[in-house]
Order: sequence, then C-alpha cells, then structure tokens
Amino acid sequence: MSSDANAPLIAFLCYTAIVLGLAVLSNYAFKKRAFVSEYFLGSRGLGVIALALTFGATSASAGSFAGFPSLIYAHGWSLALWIASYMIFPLCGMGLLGKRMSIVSRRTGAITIPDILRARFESRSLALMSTILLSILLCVFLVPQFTLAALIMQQLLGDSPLYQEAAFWLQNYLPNLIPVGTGPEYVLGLLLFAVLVVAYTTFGGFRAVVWTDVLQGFVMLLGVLLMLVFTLVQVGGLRNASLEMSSMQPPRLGTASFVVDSPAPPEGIRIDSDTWFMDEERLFRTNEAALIPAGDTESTLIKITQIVTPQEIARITQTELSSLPANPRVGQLIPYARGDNTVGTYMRPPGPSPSDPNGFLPLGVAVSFFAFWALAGTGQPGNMIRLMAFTGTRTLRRAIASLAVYFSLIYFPLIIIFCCARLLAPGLDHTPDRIMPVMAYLLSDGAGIPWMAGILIAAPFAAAMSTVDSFMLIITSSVVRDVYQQSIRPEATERLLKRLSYGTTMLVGLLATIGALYPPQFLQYVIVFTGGGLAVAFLAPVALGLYWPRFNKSGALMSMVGGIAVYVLLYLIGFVTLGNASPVRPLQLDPFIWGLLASLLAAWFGTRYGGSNSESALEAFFGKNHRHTECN
Amino acid sequence: MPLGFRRARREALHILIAWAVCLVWTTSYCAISAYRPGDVALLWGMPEWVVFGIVLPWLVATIYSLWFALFLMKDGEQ
Repeated sequence: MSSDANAPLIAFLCYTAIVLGLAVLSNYAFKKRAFVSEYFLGSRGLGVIALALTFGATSASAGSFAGFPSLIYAHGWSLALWIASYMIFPLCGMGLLGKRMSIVSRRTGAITIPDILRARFESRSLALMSTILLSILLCVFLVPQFTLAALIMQQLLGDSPLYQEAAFWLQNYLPNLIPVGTGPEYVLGLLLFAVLVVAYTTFGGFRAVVWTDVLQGFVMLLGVLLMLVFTLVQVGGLRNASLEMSSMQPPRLGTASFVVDSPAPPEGIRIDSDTWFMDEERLFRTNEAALIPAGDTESTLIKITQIVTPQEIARITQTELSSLPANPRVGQLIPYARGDNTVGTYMRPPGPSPSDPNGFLPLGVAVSFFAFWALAGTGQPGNMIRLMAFTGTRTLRRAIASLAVYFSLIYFPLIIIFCCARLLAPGLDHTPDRIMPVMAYLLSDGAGIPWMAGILIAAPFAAAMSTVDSFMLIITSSVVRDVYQQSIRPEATERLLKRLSYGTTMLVGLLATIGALYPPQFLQYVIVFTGGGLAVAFLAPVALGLYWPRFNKSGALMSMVGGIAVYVLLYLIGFVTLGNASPVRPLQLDPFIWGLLASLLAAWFGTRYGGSNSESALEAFFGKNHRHTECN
Repeated sequence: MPLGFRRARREALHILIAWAVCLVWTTSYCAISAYRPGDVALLWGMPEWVVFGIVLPWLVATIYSLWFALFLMKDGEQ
C-alpha cells in the first residue's frame, strides 16, 4: 500500500462534501415546484447528459466495480463474452420503452410504474400488487447493496490510520453496535455510507440523485480510463500481458498456519496479508493476515494461494520474497475443478472454476447472460422511472447515443484492466473481491502518483451510491404515492406528503442499514435473484401495456404472477435439490429466461380469455380517436 | 393506429432485431471459435475470438445505436 495511506479517506471526504452540496442545491431548487412530481421525478426536466449518466450510473451498481472486476480476475477473458450484451444495452434499455413511456406518463400524469399500470388497466388491485412486489423486491435488493458498499468502504479505507482510529473508537465506546461475525471496520464503513446516502437522498430527492449520478458517472469514467492507461504502461502493452496470461495455469487454494519454536513476545508475531513465502520449493501468497498471539507458538489457519505457473514462480521469486518471522505449516491444497494443470485456460470460455467442473461460463449460460443484461436491464423499475423524467424525445435520442459510447468506454476497458491484473497482482485468488482497491494502490504507486489512488477508488463509491439512492427513492414513491396518496388519502396536503416522503426515505435507509448489520449469505445470488425477479415481474406487463392495445387486465395480472411464479419455483427447486442458493437451469438457461417466457405466455393466455379494455384507457395510451400532442 | 404509435412500435421492432443479430453473431461466433480446444491466436493483443466475436460486433452495435438514435428515430409524435 502507498505511504500516503490517508489519501483515499481525504478523497472520500471531498467527495462527500460535494455530494451533500449538490443535495442542498437540489433542495433549494425544488422549493418553488410541486413537491410530488419534483421529489420523485425532477419535474420531468432531465437533459441529455443528465439522462444518459443517471441511467448509466444507476445500471452500474456496486457489482460493476467490485464483483465484475473480481470475476474478470478469477476467470479471465471469458468475461468479455459474459458482459457482451452491454454492446446493445443502451439501445434496448432506453430505446425499447423510452419514447412510449415518456408520452404515456405525460398524458396520464403517472410518476411511478404502478401509476402507469393503474392508468392502463384501470385496476387498483394490479397497481397494489405491483407496489407490494416492487417494494418487497427492492427492499431485499437494498440489503446486499448496503453490505457490498460497506465492504467496499472497509477495503478502500481500511488502511487509513484515521479510519482505523475511528474503528477503534467505535469498538471501545459502542461495542453493542458491532454484531458477531462483523468487525468495527465493516460497521464504520456501513454507517458512513448509510448516513451519506440517506442524507442526500432524503434532502434532495430525485434531482439530487440525478445530479450526484452525473458526478458519479464522470468519476467512474475518469477512474476507468486512468486505470486503463496506467495498466497498459505497467504491463508493457496488451500483447505482452496476453502472452503471459496464455501460459498461466490456475493456482491452488488452501490454508496454512505459522509456527515459531519459542512462545511469541507480548506484542505477538504478525505475518501480513499478501506476503509471499516458499515452502518445499512451492510458492505461496497469504490472502489474510496471520497473528501468533503473545505466549503462543502457532497462528490460526489463514487462506493462502499457491502459484503453479513456472514463469510466474521464476519472476516472483526474483523480486518479491523476503524472510518471515515464523515457519509456514501448509495444509491441504485444493486444485481447481476445471482448469487445473491446464495452460491457457484464462484465454477462452468456459474459463477456470474452483468449484464447477463445467467451468465458469458454459455456452448456455453465456446465451442466458446475453439475454439477461439487455432485457433484464430494460425491465428494471429503476431504469423505467428515468424514462418518464426527460424533457422530450430529442433528449432521449441523444442520451441513447451518449450512453452507447459511455458504456463502451467503461465495460470493455474494465476487462482489459483486470485481465492484466493477473500479472500485476497475482495470488489473490482466495479474496478476488479485493482486486479493485489493490489495483488502485498498485497502479498509482507504480506511476509515482500515490494520491491518484484516491481518485481511482472513488469509482466504486460512486457506483454503489448511484444505485442505492435511486432504489430508495422508488420505494419511497411506492409507499407515499401509490399506497398513501392513491389508496388511503388522496386529498393529502403537499406538506404532509413532503414529511411522509422524508420520513419514509430515512426509514428505508435505516431498515437497509439494520439488515446489512447482519449481512446475508450468498450476496451475489440475492442481487441476481431480486434483479431478475423485478425484470420478470415488470418487463412484459409494462412493455405489452405500452405496445399492445388488446393486452388487458387479466393478461397483465397473469403475466406478472406467472412470470414471478416460474422464476421463484426454479430457485426453490435449486435450493431444495442442490442444497445451496443456485437455481436449477433447464437447458443451461437462466431462470430469468424461463420466467420471461412464462410471463409472455401467461400474458397471451390472459388476454385471449380476459375482458376488454376501457375506451378511456385506450384513448390515453394509444390515442385511437384523439388528436395527438407533441411530446416535446 | 396513429402514425406516432406505429412509428414507435416499428422502432421497438428494429431494436429487438438488432439485439437478436448481436446475440446470434456473438454467441455463434464464440461457440465455434472460442469453445474449441487448441492454441488461442492473438490479434491486437487480444484473443482472436474476442476481436471478431466481441469487439467487432460491439463496434458495429455502437455505430448502429448512434445511427438509430440520431437519424432513424423520430422526435415525438406527428
């Protein structure tokens, strides 16, 4: 790590000040406008840059800058195929529904997704069901997002002396806040993140969320492009990196302890994480710190990675080895289920896997992901909401063009950067989630600009915040607009709605924080499950409602219920039969595909045997018999 | 049906076809070139299957997205 260890914390504090400043400005800006439309939809005033970057930043969650890099590091070039549908995602995500959503929401005055469904099918039960489904799935989705954000904060700021002091203070004075299984660094990261996001979202509403998304979008782009340049310089060009990578074999993962002959001194003996050592001519790297307590002669077991590629061993033993204060005692080493002793496995799909003998990306899974990213992204309520908020179709067209370029500049460079990370930071295979901050420090130190780490690591902060803030606001709008204002008290005053909105946003943030204090297992599965579930529930009802005049209330209800039922069923069967959170995948296709097919089939069936639509709804949505107003 | 609605529906159909073309190009090329055993050839510093199966369609899809958004898609309703 850099000698300037407080740089990330200083960068974070500067970033915090700017974000809160934007929230104050936003709050000032909406004082003179109608509260509900402004707080939840920014008075439909998004311009090109705001629309493109708020859409892009909301889509790029914490996973894009923590999970995705770790997957590239662990599985190599296969990830280029895994993420490939981002080539067409901007066009699908904004273009498929954008124009119709904007026109219809203006005509009907809708500001939420249940509003759109209520206007189209004139059904309170459908609107209520969609509100409940939306709120539950988004609340579940928020918990792993908060957890991931806290982990990112812990990893990024954990080496800062100021952060360590604050964590120490927390442990001493508020020990009850730290549940078993977490640590003070994690809880501190969670509290910092939660307070900041809840504060600016509550205070500034949709406009603050969009303004911060724009800032966060630029930070992400700058961070990725800087990392790309530094990486290519430090590996000596992409060709050189790929040639080295093509000779690599997957490592072996195992555990070790460290022993000394005589009892350890009062301060104990510590072997840092990421330390290289040799044992019986084999090269290892520690993936956790080991501590031999005072008076003891052996440390607890820690995770280690064995490097097995001869070229890597030769390179690392020349430069990285140092003497250790204790002797290693290496335990069992587990070979990869796919890729062990295979040269070049990082260069092509299905890629190596420590646990799956079929590899990381069998062909059926690759096809599923191509459908998943583009179509599930289109069906996310967080993205749909943004399609009601821009100024006109001209804005939409230019935003699609901007986002197509923006995503190309973000996602493909990430693949190059973190493939090269296998050369620059080998042996982190037990803890690949750390690769983003490790690379940020390594690249900025290598370039001789240690403070640059602060800018590079702002990208994951930005990604986590820009997703969480949007979802919190959608939950608030569901409760305040769709439940309270529409169903309980339609005559509620603006003042009351304002207080209720502030209170609900804070409550949602508090609940997500409490949930993240007890982090769920299978974080990535929870995120994929809820993200896919939202798309399965909403994509077909909304899309068909916008484009198919015959589509009726029965079709919409059956589509929503049928899709989510098949989707949940495949996860349940997987949970029962496989004993973990993996779903069953008939024909290797993801449950999202089956859920979407079931949703479409149920939509057709329900429409065929259901009733007809009211003339007023058809008039509002399709304008059969009325003169059209220009959208702009 | 009004012209604006028909136009929006035609544009949505264009997008779905573009998505399907990308899906077929990427997955079929990668199925043939990337999943077979043997040495991986490099082109522009990347595996060749990445260049022809991912980078090239990505480039084409981005150019198509720009053309579609800036020239094919129409403003509002007429």
